[in-house]
Amino acid sequence: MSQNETRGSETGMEAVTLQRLKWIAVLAAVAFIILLEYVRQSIYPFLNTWKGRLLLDSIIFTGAIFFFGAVFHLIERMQRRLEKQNRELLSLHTAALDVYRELALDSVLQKVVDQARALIDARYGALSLLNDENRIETFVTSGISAEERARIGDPPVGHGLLGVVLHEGHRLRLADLQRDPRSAGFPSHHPPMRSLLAVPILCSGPFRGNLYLSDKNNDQEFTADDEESLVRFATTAAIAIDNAYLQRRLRSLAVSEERLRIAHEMHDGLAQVLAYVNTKAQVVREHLKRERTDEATKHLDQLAAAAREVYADVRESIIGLRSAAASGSSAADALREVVATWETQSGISCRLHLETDLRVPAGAELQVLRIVQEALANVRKHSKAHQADVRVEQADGRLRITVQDDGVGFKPAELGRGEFPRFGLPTMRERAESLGGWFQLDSTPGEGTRVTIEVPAQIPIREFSRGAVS
Amino acid sequence: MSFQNVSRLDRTVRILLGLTMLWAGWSAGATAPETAIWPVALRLFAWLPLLTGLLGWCPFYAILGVSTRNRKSPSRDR
Repeated sequence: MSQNETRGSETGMEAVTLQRLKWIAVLAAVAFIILLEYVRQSIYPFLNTWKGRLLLDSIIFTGAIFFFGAVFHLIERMQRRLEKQNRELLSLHTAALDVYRELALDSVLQKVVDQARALIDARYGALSLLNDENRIETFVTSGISAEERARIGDPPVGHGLLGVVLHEGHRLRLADLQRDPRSAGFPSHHPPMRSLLAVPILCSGPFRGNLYLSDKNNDQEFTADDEESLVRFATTAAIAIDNAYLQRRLRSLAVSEERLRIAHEMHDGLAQVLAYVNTKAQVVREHLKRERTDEATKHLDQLAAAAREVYADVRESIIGLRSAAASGSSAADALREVVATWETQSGISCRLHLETDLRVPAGAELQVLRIVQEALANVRKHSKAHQADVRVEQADGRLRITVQDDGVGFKPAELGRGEFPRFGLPTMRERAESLGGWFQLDSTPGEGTRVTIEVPAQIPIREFSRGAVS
Repeated sequence: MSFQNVSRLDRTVRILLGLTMLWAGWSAGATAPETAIWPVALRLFAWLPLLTGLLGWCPFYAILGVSTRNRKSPSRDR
């Protein structure tokens, strides 16, 4: 049954109850008139006595009790049903929120089955995901310890009742699954299970699976309401699973992109510097051949300076990669770490002005950090600054990051004319533009340098919630 | 049925009581003097336990929120 049909049946159920209430009111009035007529005829000789009037009053009182009793009974039933639905929706909402908090696919699957079990109050739960060949690829359980699972052996392959749900994609609600003719029985060491509730999980991604629950904690069988609740939860779970899958793909793509970028940087940066070293070495050899030791020493000093610079760059890049790769920390924490590490390395004081919660689109976090790292590396190498400032601002859905120093500055027009090859600025520009933003360099000799990047910012969750409520 | 709030024993007692009251009302009506109202009252009020016993639902129980049915038995339309 689809969600629309389910919703329709619930509305229908409520309408029937209200309809029944109206009919009761009409029929009760008619029955009451007939009853009073019957009573009037029965006690006609006594109507003028006090006993007769008392009897008539008693009959009217009893009739009224019957009528109001029936009406209140129906109202109470409707109220109980609404309260129960409210409780179920609240549980569903809580369970869904808990599942949505997870982004790692394996954790999401485990949360889904744990929350489904808690929602329906079942003793055992399982979730199976199918591959393209309709075979069970992942089988996650809940309510069974790791030791028990190890004793049971390999995960199921989809025979018996599991296969019915897997291949037909229908819901299944059984009071005693062992009595069902389609049951293939349990493997040895499998805990005994009696009732079963299984619903499909229909993801839009490459996944397709089922959610199974067995044995309620109160030893009763699963009800139709349990089934409807689980179907609603499975719909929510499908979205969470799709979301986790997309997050995993996004991370994977971000890593691939970063690998490509590092390869590009190595080709354009390190390879060019090594070519420079090679040329210098040849020049030194020529000078030594002609016994021009002073010239050779000058070039050797330049070689040593270039080697030191490259060494510092590579070391900084490795530290940067390590800190950015640290999972679990927020973008703001990663930025604080980058700034603190740079301060220690360079000996230059750096202030971080984080005026907003640093939220950047998923996958762009690493790029933003790399730009800041590169800008700070340039401050260390070229600025001779005493103070650097990193400022993060957010306005109109854009995130602006400024790295400024009080160093010697330079004429931007003269960039690239030096003997030693420089590739940091083009890479920073490429990174910013790849995020849909821009990069700007402002510098004047004697007045320091300012690097500004602006990229689209992710809308903070709290602002979105506030907007949605209002 | 889920609307019921009277147990099987309670229903039996009510039906028996109702039938007894009806029988007593008719019997007394035949022998008692014509001015006696209580046989009529018995006949009229006999329908109360009889009807509640047959329906398995008592309006007084419903208003007071009382039930003599065993709630632990599984119910399909919870």
